[in-house]
Amino acid sequence: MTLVVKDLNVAYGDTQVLWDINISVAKGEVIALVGSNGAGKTTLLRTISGLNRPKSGQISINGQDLTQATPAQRVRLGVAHVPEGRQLFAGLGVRENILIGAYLRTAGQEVRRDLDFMFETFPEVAARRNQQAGTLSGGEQQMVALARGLMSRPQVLLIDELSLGLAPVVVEKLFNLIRNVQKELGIGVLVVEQDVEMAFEMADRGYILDTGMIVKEGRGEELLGDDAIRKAYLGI
Amino acid sequence: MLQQLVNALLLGGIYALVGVGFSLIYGVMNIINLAHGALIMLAAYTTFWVFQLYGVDPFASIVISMALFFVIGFILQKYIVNRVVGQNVLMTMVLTYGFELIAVNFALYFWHADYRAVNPTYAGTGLEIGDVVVPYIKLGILTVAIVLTSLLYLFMTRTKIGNAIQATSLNKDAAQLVGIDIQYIYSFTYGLSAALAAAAGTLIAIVYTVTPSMEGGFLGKAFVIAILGGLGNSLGAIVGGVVLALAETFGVVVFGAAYQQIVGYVIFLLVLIVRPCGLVGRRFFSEL
Ligand SMILES: Nc1ncnc2c1ncn2[C@@H]1O[C@H](COP(=O)(O)OP(=O)(O)OP(=O)(O)O)[C@@H](O)[C@H]1O
Ligand SMILES: [Mg+2]
Repeated sequence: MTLVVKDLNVAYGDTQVLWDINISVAKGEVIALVGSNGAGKTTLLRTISGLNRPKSGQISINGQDLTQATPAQRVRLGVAHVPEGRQLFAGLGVRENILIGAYLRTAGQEVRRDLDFMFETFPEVAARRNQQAGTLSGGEQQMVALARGLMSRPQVLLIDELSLGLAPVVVEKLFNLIRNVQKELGIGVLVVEQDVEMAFEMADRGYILDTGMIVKEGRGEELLGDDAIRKAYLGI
Repeated sequence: MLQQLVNALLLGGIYALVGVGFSLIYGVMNIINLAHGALIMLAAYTTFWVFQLYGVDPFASIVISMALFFVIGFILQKYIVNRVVGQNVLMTMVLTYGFELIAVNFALYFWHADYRAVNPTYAGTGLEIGDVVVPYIKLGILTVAIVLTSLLYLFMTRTKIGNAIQATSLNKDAAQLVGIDIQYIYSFTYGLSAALAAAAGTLIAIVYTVTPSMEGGFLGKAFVIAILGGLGNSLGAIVGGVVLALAETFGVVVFGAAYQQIVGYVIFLLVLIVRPCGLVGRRFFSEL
């Protein structure tokens, strides 16, 4: 197992929002995390990448405990997080935004090769490499955010709200891109997604988070076939 | 007229250095650094004493002084200012103003309120171009100011740590997610700002007089310059510095000496009303 989250409890002040969360993401796996608004998906991702601190529980990657590590140390150990709302450096250029994802890497040659790889993977973005990131469309910004996340050569990529503000065709395209890249690089992906049907179709496994608790987990097609889930999340 | 322009550019160079450091700190850690004027004053005294006691030329001591103040600033941020990063504005002002008071009283106690000046031997000589005389000393100051601001620009745009400083100022969460140690960037930025304040203080000591109360005036200027350039946009502060200097210098020509300070503040207010993002107002930068 690459990423393991064990008995995680997270609170904002006195308000607990995550309860005894247990999840795992293995190398080469795509995991979907779904749940209604306010369920705690973003909080879980932020706690894994170290922006939030847990009350109790453990987070580890390849057996190495991360619970006390700073966000920067976690990046070094292989966690990359594409945050909700993309959070690009709007005033910097597209190229700088992608390149800064490799902030902790020192091998210039390899970094430049990876940058070329990103431009090949996301040709729309390549055409706009000298533009300010804030001027891009939503879909293009999401590509830059994904490329920035991949530039750290992560073992696990966390993606929060891949589809936020994007047309379904764009989301599907991004999902396919992620699938391909993820296979090529052999990394694990944990993706938070609103489009439950697409998420479970694309993912190997999925988790359903409801008001801070994991209420269901299983293989993608299993979850899609579950009547209760279809009722609750797909309105069928 | 030409003489005035030369003076304005000279002043602009100093103002740019004064404003850049102040703006930098606001941009990166959202702190209105009321200690900025005190750092300038302490650096001016450092230059004065090093010249007085050891005869070191101010243009030579500037490098040492910048290095020293970088270290002082780094430590000051790491152990003291860092406690108020992210706290409300009042707390940050109380803390930095506290440092200012301590520094000024320290200077008053040890060095008294006397006016002091650095007078290198070449102070009287100058370059004659037509009927304009440009003192070598002013030429030197302008050169130093231009070199330093250019170096800062290159540093911010071309180096990894410069990019990290910009990234931290634009988006702290995202900066951490790419692996930037923002605590280190905070300390480094404060050090950089202090080094720039030291450069400004040194240049000021060469052309003006040094007193413990000089900090107040320069703190006010730093604020005006930073707003003119777009608060937090450090490179905009370079433009802000030059604009303020031009306004002050030519304001004197047009309205008389009594209005020198007023002109600056009027422009400051106008900019705040008409272009609150500053004169340069680069898109996506320092949106207020
Ligand atoms: N900074 C914060 N301070 C206090 N409470 C917060 C904070 N951030 C989130 N919360 C609360 O924590 C709960 C979980 O929020 P979170 O953003 O993790 O949900 P989410 O599943 O990502 O929702 P969405 O689908 O809307 O993005 C919510 O009740 C929210 O109000
Ligand atoms: Mg969310």
